[in-house]
Amino acid sequence: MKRMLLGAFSLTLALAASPALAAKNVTVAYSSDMHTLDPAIGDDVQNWPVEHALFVTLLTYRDGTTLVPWAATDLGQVSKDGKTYTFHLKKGIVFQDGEPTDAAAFKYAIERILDPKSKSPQSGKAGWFGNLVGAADFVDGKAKDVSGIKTPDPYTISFQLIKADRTFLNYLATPFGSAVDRKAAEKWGSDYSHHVVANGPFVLKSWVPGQEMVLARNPTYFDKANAAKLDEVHILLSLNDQVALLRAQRSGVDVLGNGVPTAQFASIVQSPQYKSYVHSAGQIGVDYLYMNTQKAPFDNKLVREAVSHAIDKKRILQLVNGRGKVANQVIPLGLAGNDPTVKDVSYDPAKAKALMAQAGFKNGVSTTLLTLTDEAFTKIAQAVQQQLAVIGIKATIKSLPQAEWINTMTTPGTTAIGLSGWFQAYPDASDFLPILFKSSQYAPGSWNLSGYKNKAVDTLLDQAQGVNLGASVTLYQKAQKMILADYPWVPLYYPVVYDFVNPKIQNFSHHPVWGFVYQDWNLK
Amino acid sequence: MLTFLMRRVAWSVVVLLFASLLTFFIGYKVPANPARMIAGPNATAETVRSISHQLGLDQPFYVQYGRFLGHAAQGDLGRSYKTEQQVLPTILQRFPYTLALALGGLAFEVLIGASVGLLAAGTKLRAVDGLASTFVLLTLAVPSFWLGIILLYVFGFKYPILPLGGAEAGPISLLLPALTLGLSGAGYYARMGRASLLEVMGEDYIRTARAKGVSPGRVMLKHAFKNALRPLITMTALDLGVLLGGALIIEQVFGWPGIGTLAWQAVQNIDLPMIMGTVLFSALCIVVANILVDVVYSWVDPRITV
Repeated sequence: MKRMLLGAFSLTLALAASPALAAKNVTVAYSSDMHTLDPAIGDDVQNWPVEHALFVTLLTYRDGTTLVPWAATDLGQVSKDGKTYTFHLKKGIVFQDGEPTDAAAFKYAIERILDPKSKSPQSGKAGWFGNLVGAADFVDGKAKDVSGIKTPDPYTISFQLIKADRTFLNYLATPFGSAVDRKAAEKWGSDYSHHVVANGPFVLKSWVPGQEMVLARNPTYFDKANAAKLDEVHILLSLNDQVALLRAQRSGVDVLGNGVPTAQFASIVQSPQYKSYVHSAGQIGVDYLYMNTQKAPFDNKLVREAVSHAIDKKRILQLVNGRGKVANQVIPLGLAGNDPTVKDVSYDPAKAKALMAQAGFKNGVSTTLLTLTDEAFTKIAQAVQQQLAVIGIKATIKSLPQAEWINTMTTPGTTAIGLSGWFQAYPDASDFLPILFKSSQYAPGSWNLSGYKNKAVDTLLDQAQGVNLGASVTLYQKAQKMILADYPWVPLYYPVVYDFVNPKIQNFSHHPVWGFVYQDWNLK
Repeated sequence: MLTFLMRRVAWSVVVLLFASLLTFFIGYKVPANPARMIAGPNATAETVRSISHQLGLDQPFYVQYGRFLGHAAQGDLGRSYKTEQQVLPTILQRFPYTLALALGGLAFEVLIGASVGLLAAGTKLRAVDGLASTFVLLTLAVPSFWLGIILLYVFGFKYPILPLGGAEAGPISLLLPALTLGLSGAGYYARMGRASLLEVMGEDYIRTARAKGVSPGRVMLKHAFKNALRPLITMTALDLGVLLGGALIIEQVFGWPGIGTLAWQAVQNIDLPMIMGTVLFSALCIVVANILVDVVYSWVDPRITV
């Protein structure tokens, strides 16, 4: 019996063992598991860098948010009406199984996303590719393919849109625009995520869910000059932040995927020993306090203006260890459309009190402040509660876990005031203002949390979508000024991410879209 | 025996059904939309509705639960909403880690706890008893996550003789999480062992053995210990059942890739199929452990028949 028990014990321990690390490697640690590597589905800060390392897109971002060709020979030809984009593909790009990365592979990838069965965040007619001619028929099962995607030869692909949309190029540059190996995707079906066939700088060498994923340099990657410099990237999964930091300080972890842990932030940033380990980078996003313009007392513009004067943004930034820059508008710093002429609303509690009295709330008013059960947001909510109390607004904090929080605030009429954040999916103001302020977005599951309704703003936002970038910036800035004048939000800060990176890694940067660009990294 | 087992198995099915119904109901009632969690915050409302429809989340409770039961009866616990992976194979892939941690933790619990308890009751020295009581109080009072972090800091960071979390260093990775788990539960075993031995020492047959001139050491080893260990067997088997369901906190602290970590992440993602799978698996472990306790107990103590 004892021998049997010992045998079982040894067997289970043996099963727990994993292969030893190889030579020119880098190890990154994350506190959560990797959910998917399917480019049609993955849409978070953890899987996008990996998908960007595995799959080639027609276009990509370099040097910040500048679009450059990748699989395409150039940025494409646009028709005069702005509705047709044509791309020619570079030759010699192959998937690791030898299949060609041709126009058909790109067409298949987009049709795969459009299929509602894909469960892609961009599936169906309302997704990014729903504007393609024939997409609706394909989604409804009336057509076998999307007629608006044409592949006249294996190295030419054209996209015909229903309405002109400048941001279509951005969609093609995200992992959703990655070519997919049809043979592999159809073979593996729902399990494709674990059997992805790559054509990018890396291939997926192994993936043990909840433990470790290993990316290895792709020997058949077409662009030798920009091939991966590392042999392997080891991504440790489900390792808690504190333990990961200890390992990074000792050995075994080179980069903390979740950044410097909040609890150790001050000591790490101030430590002379680890000064060279800390990298900071502004994120294209904004954390904000929204007020529901359809709900009392915030249906009164004077109350919203009072709240804007009551919030001490510098104090709030201190509460998150200064990990951000004070925000004065919706369009974040670093994004075309951010308006340097916008002046921030002053922190002026006396003026705020006067405005409350003018609004008829001299004796105060009660409300509920919705927030996320997250350390930073909890601290901010408490500060906002105190600052609102000064002007007579008694706010009760309602703190919810992420899933309930999202569900509650995106249900119109449920909340009067709350904390939220918005980050770019692609670097264009169209990923901010139309989603956050168009009248039609005050709907279940949508993100006009302040219930903002302004027909003139709606018109400007619609116009901006169909014009070139330069013209759109003017329209977005005009719309933003109108929005800010109505005080639906108090923009709080633009977050800055602090990475912990072993100085032995060269060419590290936190890209505004990709986060980590593994193919750029090298070892000293 | 066979009738007993059949009766217990039937009851176990009822227990599992009840556990599945309760868990499914709670998951159904949580005011959050799993489809939103799958689609991500940037997805449109229409996409969220479409995913909701694909998963059948727009169906009434009884339809969703009925479909789950139908598939579960055929051994199919569905696919994770978040990872698309099949639930049962995913749980089974994590099971060796949970089994290793459960056995390791239990071994420390029993060895340390029972030794301390039996030593405290078996000795006449008050100092030993006092030390044992302090040990019990400390192990019961110190939170396991704190103990885990301290052990990691001391033995993984300050004096790096053991791995710093995770499981990739092989069997040696198990030592610290198992020791933490063992120390956290050892107090219960010490208390139970001490009480049990003191009770046994007052029994008639012990007095009789002494009166017959059996040496004190022999009385202790041959008669007292053997009988004092019986309640510990029950406790061990029941603990094993609980631990096989996943030691959630310890697994989190050490980054141990077991069922506890899987369950924790499933709850965070409102991943109902994975929540159902891990809860049912845990319930099954407890139910099986209960049946085993009854069987083993009758084997250890022939006076008890099942």
